[in-house]
Amino acid sequence: MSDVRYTSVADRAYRLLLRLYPREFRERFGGDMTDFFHDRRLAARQHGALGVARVWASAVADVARVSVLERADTTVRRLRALGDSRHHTTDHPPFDARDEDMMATFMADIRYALRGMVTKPAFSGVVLATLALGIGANVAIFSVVNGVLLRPLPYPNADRVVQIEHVEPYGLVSEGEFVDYRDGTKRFGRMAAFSQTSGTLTGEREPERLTIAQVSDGFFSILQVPAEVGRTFVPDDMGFRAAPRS
Amino acid sequence: MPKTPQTSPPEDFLPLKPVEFLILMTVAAGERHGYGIMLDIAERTGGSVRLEAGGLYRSIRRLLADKLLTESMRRPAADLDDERRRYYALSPLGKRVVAAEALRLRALVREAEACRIIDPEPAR
Repeated sequence: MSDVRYTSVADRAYRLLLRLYPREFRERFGGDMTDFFHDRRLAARQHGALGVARVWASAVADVARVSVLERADTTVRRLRALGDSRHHTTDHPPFDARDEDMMATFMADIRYALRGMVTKPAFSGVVLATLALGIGANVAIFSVVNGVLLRPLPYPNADRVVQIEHVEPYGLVSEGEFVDYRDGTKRFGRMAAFSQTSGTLTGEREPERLTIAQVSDGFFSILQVPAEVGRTFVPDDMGFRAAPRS
Repeated sequence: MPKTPQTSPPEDFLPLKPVEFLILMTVAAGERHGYGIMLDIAERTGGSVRLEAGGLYRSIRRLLADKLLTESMRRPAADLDDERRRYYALSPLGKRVVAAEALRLRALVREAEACRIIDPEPAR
């Protein structure tokens, strides 16, 4: 086979795919099939990345379909050759040891592994526990990373929303400082203040612990979210002596 | 299909699969390698049959096993990097089989015309 000519990653990847075919088919046609794929890929390049992607997709589908058919054919031929040793034809040589099947080897490996697990339960248990802990820890860490870092905030233009806060030794931002920041900086389109606390809601039913945020005007319009219940701020709400809202 | 093609009449191989018929027809015009066969067939069928490597070489394997095709390793010309490709040609048996298949198809088309399923083709 003409292995030497193909050094590109794509052609090597295709050669790996060809391992799905029965050995005799691969040894006979593998080199020519790689030639074929190589030509096809080069011809598709003029259609850009989409063209190449299409060639790959149909090549993978083709390998998946034909390798199953060829394996079935090979099995039938072997069975026929084994059962029919009197009428021995040169087209269909009988099974020989060198002609091992990748699938058969794979299944033998699986059986061997399962036997080992049954005969050494303590060892298997430790291995399984290690795997379970490792996978569990990874899932937990990924959930946190996904929630905190990867998943975007559920607001429109979330990539343009930032949070500013004082760091030690300064404490919370006072109302006066907030007004200075808001009116004195040019880097931000709009600015609103919030502070988070919690409280207990009591009344007719069971008391309920709530997370509460005190926010300034502009908070809802910056995040572009409407109020779940009631309404958000209007200009009349601003300033001293504004009437409290229910 | 029979396993001893030397003694088999061409009719034993019929009907051919459409793809096999197209491949045999293509190499009847002269030796081709796999990719060339695919291009020829795509052109011949207006792009509606576009073979992939696996499907094509599976058909080629079967046609070789039935001795309808012969293969040769050679380079077509001293140009390009087209070295060491397998070329496929029609065997004498293959020639008779593809002709028999064409006759079979023609008989079917005649039958369809006689049954008024399609209009008869005007004589050329």
